[in-house]
Amino acid sequence: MSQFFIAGESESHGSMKQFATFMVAGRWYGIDVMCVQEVTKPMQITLMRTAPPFIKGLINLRGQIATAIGLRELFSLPVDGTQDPMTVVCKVEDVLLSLQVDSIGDVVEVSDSKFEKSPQTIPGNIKEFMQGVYKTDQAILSIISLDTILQQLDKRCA
Amino acid sequence: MNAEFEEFKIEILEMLDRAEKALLEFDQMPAGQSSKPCYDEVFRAYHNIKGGAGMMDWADLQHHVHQLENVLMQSKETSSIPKHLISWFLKGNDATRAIVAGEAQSFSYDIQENDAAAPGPVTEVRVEQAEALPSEFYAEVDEGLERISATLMKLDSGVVDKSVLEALYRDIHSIKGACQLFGLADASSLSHAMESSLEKERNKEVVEAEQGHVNTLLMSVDMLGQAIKEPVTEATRKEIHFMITLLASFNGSEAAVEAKPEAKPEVKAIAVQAASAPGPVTSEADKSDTTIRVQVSLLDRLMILMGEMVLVRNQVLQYSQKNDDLEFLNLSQKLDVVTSELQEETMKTRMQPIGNILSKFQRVVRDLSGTLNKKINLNLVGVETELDKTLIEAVKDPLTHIVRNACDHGIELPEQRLAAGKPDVGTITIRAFHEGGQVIVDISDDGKGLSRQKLLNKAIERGIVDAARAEKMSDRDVHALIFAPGFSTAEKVTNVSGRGVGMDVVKSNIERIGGLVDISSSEDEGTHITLKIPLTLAIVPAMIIRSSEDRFAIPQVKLVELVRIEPAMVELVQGRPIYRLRGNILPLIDMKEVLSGVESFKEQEAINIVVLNSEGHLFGLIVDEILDTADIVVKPLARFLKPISIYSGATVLGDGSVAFILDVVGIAHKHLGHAVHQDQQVSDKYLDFKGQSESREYVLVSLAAKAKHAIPLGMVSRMEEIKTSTIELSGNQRVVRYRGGILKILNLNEVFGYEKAEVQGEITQLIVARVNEQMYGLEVDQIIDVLSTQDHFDDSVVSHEAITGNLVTQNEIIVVIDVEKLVALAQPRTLQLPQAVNGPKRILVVEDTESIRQTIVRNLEESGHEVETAVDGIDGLRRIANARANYDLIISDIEMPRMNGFELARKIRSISTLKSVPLIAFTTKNTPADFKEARDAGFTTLLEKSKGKLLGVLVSECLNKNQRKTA
Repeated sequence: MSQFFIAGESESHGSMKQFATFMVAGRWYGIDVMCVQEVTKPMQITLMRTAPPFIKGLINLRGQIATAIGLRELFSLPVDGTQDPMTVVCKVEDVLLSLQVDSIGDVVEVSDSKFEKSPQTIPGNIKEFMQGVYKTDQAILSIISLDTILQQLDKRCA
Repeated sequence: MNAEFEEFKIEILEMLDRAEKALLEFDQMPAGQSSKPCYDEVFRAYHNIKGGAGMMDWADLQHHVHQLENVLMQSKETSSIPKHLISWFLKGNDATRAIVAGEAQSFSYDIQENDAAAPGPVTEVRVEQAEALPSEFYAEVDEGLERISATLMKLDSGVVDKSVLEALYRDIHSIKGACQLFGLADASSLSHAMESSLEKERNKEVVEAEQGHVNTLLMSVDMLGQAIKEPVTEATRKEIHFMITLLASFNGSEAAVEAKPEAKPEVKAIAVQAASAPGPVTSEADKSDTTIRVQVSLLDRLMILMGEMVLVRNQVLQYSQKNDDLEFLNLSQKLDVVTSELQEETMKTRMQPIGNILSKFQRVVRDLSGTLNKKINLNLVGVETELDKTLIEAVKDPLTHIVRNACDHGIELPEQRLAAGKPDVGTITIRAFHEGGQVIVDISDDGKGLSRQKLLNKAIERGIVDAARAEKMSDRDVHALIFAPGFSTAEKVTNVSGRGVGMDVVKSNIERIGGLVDISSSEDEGTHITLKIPLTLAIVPAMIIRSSEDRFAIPQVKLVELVRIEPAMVELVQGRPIYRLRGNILPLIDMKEVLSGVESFKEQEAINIVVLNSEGHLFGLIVDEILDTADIVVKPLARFLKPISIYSGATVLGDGSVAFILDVVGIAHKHLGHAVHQDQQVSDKYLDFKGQSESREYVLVSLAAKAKHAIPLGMVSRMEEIKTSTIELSGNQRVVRYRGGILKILNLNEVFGYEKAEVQGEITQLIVARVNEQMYGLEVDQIIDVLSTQDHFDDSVVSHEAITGNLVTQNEIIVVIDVEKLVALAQPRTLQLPQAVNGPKRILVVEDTESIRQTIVRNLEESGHEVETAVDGIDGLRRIANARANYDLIISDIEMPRMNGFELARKIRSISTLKSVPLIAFTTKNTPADFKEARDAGFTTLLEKSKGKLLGVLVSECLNKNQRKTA
């Protein structure tokens, strides 16, 4: 159904993409909606001690085990510990990741024509995770690449 | 399409495996034996592959296999493959694999002879196809014929609609098509005639068939079925022709004319195969009806879901216990039962016979014996033994290594063998069987064995041991040296093995999957390697422990024992905590330190130590609490977590929370580092397989006497602490409810007449002992320790019937209790039955036929005996030599490979300690001469297998007699 809808729109706006959006430290991020398996309330985390700070621990997702990743820590954003983070569960290359975010936003549909690559002034530690930005009516949406997150996890844990 | 293609590839590989097996069988077949089944197998395989390749438009493959087939066809007459061509075919198979894998292959089709005399006519090939028809074809034909018969019956009953005839026409047509495709000429002409005869009716709106026509068609259907499924003989062919003519009469002459020329030219060709058409086709078709091919990923998914279901079940059960609703309780019980069963069956879906990899070694051994100029025979026993698919893959490489080693280092050159008085053909035997929830794979060869001196020389040269120590090493320790890294004894490095990267890798690979490797060897007689492999990796027994707020699972295979000590017993060496565990230094690691990276050893009330075994090194892990044991479902960690090496996986606990599984080896590497030297390796007693250990183990207890008492660990099933208030009286007998039954309590102070302390503590310590399948609670004042000792045992001073003697250690004398006697004494009336006095006995069963062996073992075990088995005389002798104590009775078959029963008996009687052990011959031999020979050889008695029921009686009789004699 959505495909049909996109096909109809494409004539005037170029192809459309859908992103699941969320807030981390007051910033607005989006990831490809197709990668998102589910969004859940805070869940019990089994802490993984001795792991780098961005690895929070493990979550039991109805028998499947997901690794909880703290995006604040991963993006080197200030950690204040006040939020009770929501989780966005995504699957990349068969790895189940549970991204810890502050709050969940809408699913946003944007046209490719609104895409632009990341502004050069963005600090490298966040920019390396970003595919680029979409200019929406409300604000600028930063798109995060899950593949890059996985690559970085491989690299930083090794 | 893609999936279909992948499936096709898998199928090709399977067919190649079958062909290879048949080729190897050929190779070993004595002259004169019928080689037809093997030939057909190879032929079928090539042919099917060729056919499949054609369908998939895979020209390279088709061409290649066609060449193989052509050469094979040349020997069709004799149905045998010239020996010199077997290697050529084997190489051809390898090339086929290369093509399938998409690799380049350089296979020379050139065989020295007969290349020009290329294959028989194409018709012949087509005809042969009948042998190799896919089972789907038969299923389809059956369905089609059934529908046709049903429709004809309708026609027979009167006027039918046009659509019915349409359907009939279609069915016949598709059968015709299939028959043509698979080259069944007769069947296709017959169906063509049937089809044509209906042509006329087909144009009518309403059909009213002639009685005669329907009858003819029905007969044709039967005949068609026959012509497809069975070989067409000359007689049936005549019938078919008659039928075709008959059918043609219903449709004017042109149909008949059309049918005949099509049929004729192929008649000859069919005659060629008629006589040799195989029976197996149908049986293969049967098999495929009951099996289906499933993706492994689907099975994996099933396993995961099963694991989840077990967790939900656990939660439901936990909840139901807090609930008063009977109905709910009832239902949850049912859920429990069904889930357990389902779990068991699901596990089975992943099981595969180990023969899948073992049979590949036939080829390995054949190739190697060629390269090495040796004569080697590979003997496989128990190929049907099943284990988890992933484990089969995991043991493949280690096994290959061991087999290659056996060929290269073990088996000698033929001339050397003859000089040593052995047959020139060496034998390697691989036996696989289940034992105690594990799969045992035994690889034995009758080669030159390991040389103690050579091993030691090499070890000293490599600095693995020093000369002084080498003197004192036991043979076992010496043999174990070949597992040391960088150790190779081959005098020259060959390309087969001998680079010293072998056995240590084998050991670590097997240990990685939770298995064990053991080696024993006697010089000049051969080497014997035993692998113990768990049945499955998916679910493992584990111990759950707590450290601070976190819970962790530790796989039981890594766990040696649990120790609880006073803080004062921990000593510090250079600031690091250690504990003296029975005199040996046990390095301690605090779990909190592992987790936080900070040295945090603190004084506590009592310290729980989990003693762990990491690749042969023992260390103690200090934890806060030992919670429970549980079977856990292992879930892998995300790949980026692997470098954090202290965890090997995760699992979901009964309450739904996640716990990490500790990687014992990882922790040891991280925290013990290289500090552990080779000579600190744990002494054999921990690494030995249970039962082969030379040291004896006891539970040390204190009673109201000065000396400590020891109870053999083998008799102890558990140690329990119970509340004294839970002890009840049944008559005069003190009992306690225990695991759904009643446990009799025997106070050891009372039994031995020691002054019993009047004051009873709140807690009573019990040692739960198992005697004759019955549990007894032995009440002691205090359980002190588990003692593993090689100290001197002395039975000269025995002050009580239930005492076997004393252990003389360095600083004290420990009294050893005889639990069986003790139990018998405490309950004189019930236990003086002959059977009970006998107690369980250790019996060795030597029998080469597995089913018989299993039956005997089952029977004897049911009567409470401890039974060990051997597969032939040699194996039996080995068992006897390695046994920790003499067997009480030996039962042996007479007709066995390698060493028969008579010879075995003579050998046994030549051992001084075995002069009087009862020996039963259990055999089909029953002539007086046999009796005499059995008696002369040293058998106590002989029992015919036909009277197997009497074996139990005979066994107790022999045991009783012997007991009286020795008493």
